[in-house]
Amino acid sequence: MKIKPSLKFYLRNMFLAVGVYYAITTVMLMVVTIILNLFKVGNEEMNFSSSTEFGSPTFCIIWGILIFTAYMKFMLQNGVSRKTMFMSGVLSTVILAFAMSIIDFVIQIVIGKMGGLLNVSLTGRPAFSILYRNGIFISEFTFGDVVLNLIWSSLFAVFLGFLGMISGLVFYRLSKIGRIIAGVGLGGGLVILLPIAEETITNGAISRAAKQFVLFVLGLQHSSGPNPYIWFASSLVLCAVIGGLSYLLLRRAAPQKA
Amino acid sequence: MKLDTESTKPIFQQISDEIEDAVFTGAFKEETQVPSTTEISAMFKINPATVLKGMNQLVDTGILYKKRGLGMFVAKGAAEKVRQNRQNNFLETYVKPMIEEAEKLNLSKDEIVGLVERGYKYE
Amino acid sequence: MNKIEIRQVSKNFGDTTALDKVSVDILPEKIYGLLGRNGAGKSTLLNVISNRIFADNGAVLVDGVKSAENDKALSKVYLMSEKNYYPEDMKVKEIFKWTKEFYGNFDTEKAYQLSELFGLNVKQRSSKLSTGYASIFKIILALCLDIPYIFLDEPVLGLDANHREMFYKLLLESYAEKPRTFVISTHLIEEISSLIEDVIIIKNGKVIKDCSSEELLSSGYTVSGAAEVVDAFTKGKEVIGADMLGGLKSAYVIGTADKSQVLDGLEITKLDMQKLFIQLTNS
Repeated sequence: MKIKPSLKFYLRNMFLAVGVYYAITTVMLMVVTIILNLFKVGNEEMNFSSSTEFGSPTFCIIWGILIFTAYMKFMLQNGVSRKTMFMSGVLSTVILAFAMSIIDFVIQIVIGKMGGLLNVSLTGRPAFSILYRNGIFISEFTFGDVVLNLIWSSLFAVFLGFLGMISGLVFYRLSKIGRIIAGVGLGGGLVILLPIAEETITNGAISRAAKQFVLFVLGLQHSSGPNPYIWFASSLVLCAVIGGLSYLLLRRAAPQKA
Repeated sequence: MKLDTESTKPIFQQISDEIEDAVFTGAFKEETQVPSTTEISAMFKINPATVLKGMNQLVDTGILYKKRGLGMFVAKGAAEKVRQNRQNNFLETYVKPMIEEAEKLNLSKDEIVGLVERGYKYE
Repeated sequence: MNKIEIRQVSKNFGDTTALDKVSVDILPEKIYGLLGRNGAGKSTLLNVISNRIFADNGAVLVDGVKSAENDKALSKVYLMSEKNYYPEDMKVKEIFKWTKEFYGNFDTEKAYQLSELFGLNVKQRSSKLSTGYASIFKIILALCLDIPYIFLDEPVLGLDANHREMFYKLLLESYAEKPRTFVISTHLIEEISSLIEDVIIIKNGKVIKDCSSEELLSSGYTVSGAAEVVDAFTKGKEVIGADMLGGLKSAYVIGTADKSQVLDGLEITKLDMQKLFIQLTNS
């Protein structure tokens, strides 16, 4: 019942932040493009990422963290059940992911064309291309490639959004001490303990297993070559699992000083 | 109209009495509308239900009547009704307490009668 | 069937029992006073009713439907608590807008009118309002919402006498215009004692009184006079407390005063709600 207003609220806040993000990064990119043009020597190829591709995923993670932490009290104040909060939160994340993928792609083309006009080769190579198309430039994409790229990167962003969601919820539901322990433990564990353990006890088995998992999930282990479709399936499965766990964390959550 | 916040008399009763008084003195004329429940409640910061109870009591005793959609009006002959009531209750309301007080002060019955006479002389 | 039923609601925070099998009904179109000392469990109860926290046992039903996690049931309930649940950077006028989005029955025009009347700056962030104006802001929201059950937790905190008067007057006018239930939780008992129709008193997580305020006020009286005379009079009666000043004593008695028994030197006055409350809730 309250899905409409809660989704509207999420989207309104989201687009504001997204707008600011893109305004800043696009301007920055254009400035950089122009500067490179000024300093180029001859017709060298500049191996510079012309895309906003790396900012967007970060943005998605942050959005995921925010929805059930920063805005929970507001939702409760307006009589929104946690069920509805979850549904509109997930919906907003999906919308965000797809919107950003499309915008990123458009920006890549625009900046690329700009570079072309200024005789600077700045055509982008999105992650999708690097993983599944031998690193070809956008200019060489078929229409099918474009569609696949959009779906692939959208799902990637959704996945990151879900990661943000569950991270935010875990921290939200931990006590103050719990949060400190989790923060220190995670950081210390990954940076210090894990490498040490890998060196001594497990002999790199964890890293190998993790690497295998990532390759599998991204569809890069296929004998017949990199397969982007596998990610379509695996991302949905991963999101379902993470989403389910997130909902379990959310459904009895009491309002906190997030 | 005012309310006595120290009195043991329930507020609805006080409202009832105050309105009755106004009817008796002619401040609220017969066949005219009395202030609404909302007006009285807002003025004295009293719950409307309490005001309504007090007013309904006067409807029951025939002092006020309801006009559908308009409000409460002073019934015809209400002032006279109040006078009658008060005359009937004069003994209880004024005479008996006076006698009680007189007894506390050791005034005899004759002395009381004498005082009443004096009271009239100064009318 | 239209009412809020609180059925055997219990809530613990660690070792502390905040609510202990609380059962009480809140009927439509009435003004309630929810009274209790600090820590008695008022806020906890309000938080459970409004789905902010969950009861350990028991249930809250709104018009027959369990309200926990139910959007439809919750759309009939609104809580303005002491704490501000709005985002830090949200302005008052934005809050008006969103309240209308989420609840529909919000009179935005009236909200702006009342803001002007009270001198509230709608362009201010709600988190930056002073205590007094934070209360005013909450009051305005409550008065402009046409929702069956509105709960106000300490609505007059920080309000000067003039604004308090204004609030009570506006509350009664709004109640007359759009009859709905207001549940007011406050420490200023005497001020609202005539305003409320029913009283709910909570002590140590339990409901110890749930009756009309008229019933409560007429349930007892104060007898004052010389201490020995008062004591003689109150012998065998249910005395819930007393105050002494020199040789003068005021005893608070439950029951009805028998006028014939009242001797010289004794004065019978009403038992005001605050005194009664204090006597009932002193441990």
